[in-house]
Amino acid sequence: MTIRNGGEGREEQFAALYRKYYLRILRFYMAAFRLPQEEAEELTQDAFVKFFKAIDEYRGDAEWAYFEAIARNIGLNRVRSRSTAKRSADIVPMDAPGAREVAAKPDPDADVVERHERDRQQKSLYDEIDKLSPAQRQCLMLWLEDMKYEEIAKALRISVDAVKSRIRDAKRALRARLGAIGLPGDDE
Amino acid sequence: MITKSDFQAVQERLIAEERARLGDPPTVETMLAYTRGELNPEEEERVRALLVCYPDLARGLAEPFPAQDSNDGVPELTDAEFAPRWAALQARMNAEGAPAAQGTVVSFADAAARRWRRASAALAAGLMLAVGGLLWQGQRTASGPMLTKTVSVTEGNSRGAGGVMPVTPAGKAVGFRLQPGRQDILHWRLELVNAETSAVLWSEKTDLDDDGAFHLTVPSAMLQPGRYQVIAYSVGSDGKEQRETEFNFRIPSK
Repeated sequence: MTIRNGGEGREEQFAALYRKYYLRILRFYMAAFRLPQEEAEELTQDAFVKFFKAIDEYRGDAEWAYFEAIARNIGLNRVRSRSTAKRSADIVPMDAPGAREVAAKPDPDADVVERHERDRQQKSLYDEIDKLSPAQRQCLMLWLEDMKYEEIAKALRISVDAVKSRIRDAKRALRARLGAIGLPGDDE
Repeated sequence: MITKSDFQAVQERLIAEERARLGDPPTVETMLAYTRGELNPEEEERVRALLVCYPDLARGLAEPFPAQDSNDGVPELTDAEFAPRWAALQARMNAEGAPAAQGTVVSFADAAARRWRRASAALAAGLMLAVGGLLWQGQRTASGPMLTKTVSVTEGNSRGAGGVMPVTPAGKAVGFRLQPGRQDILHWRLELVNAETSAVLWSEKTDLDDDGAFHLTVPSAMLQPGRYQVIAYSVGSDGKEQRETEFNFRIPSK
């Protein structure tokens, strides 16, 4: 592309948008998808390329809203592709050579008794989380991903109050069954 | 005491199990339909479950963009930051052969103009067809002689890929009756969008008929199998448009 300076300020117009929005998109990618800066920069450039190519669809006003939609879609596509590829790569036939090593990676430095105790605790925790209602479990899982209540509510299409109460109830249930659970709010 | 690392280990296990059970993450199109509330309850619940076991996608859907320009917001690129990135973008687009590489100069004003020229062309074609009693005939000709079928499509009637209202063309044209919930808007404009090909046809500014609905007539030949959407925009006195509602239907494969 050569967005030429055609005497009508066109290059300046696109460059101004690039200058104005670049860091906003970059920081979104780093925060939303937890990308390292280098990958987020690459994705940000992708977004501007796409924006340029899709410029025919641009309706005139609300340039940021249009650009935001493009940028978010590009990010989702990237992460989805990566998740799909990773998932395929994770599938190892149980009779494949090395499958046992893939399936179990004990920490060689851990004390056997300590490891056994941790395994037991994790199994208890797994069982108790499994007993939570699906709605509570969903909220808890995303909360453990450090998502904010508002973000969980948006992702699950439920109210913020519902998120709060489900997480509170889930933590109460786990505390009642397991004792102290070492999470923020455990002293509620 | 159970620690955060125990939670993380269990969480990883639960996520792996759910991924194995539910499969690949939803497509971006499905996720966007989910955020718009367009999926049926079963599909919506499935997407919700998938988002929980693909939390990066959940975060990507929900994370707000950082604010611009406020005191604690995101600044613009400085000259020193801008120059190398802009050069890299230009180099990359040259390599990819983007439109401007062939000498086309694109600006937003140009894009808008081209869009409306295309709209005008579509309307011109529509008018030609309308001579034969076919396209975008408007309210009072909906029951013309070429029309053999009229279908009422409910506002926002989108219930997922398998649940959108099916319309089987019969005869040379299909009439659609589309009644928006808002009756207080004076002027409207409609777009008919083919979701598969992204082809769009525009109407001119139009008003609701006496029965509070739009009556739209579309040649059967133009309704190839696939999903369609009629998007209704309000047109303000200043000419500004705002998307108000939509009507969805699909033409089943023969």
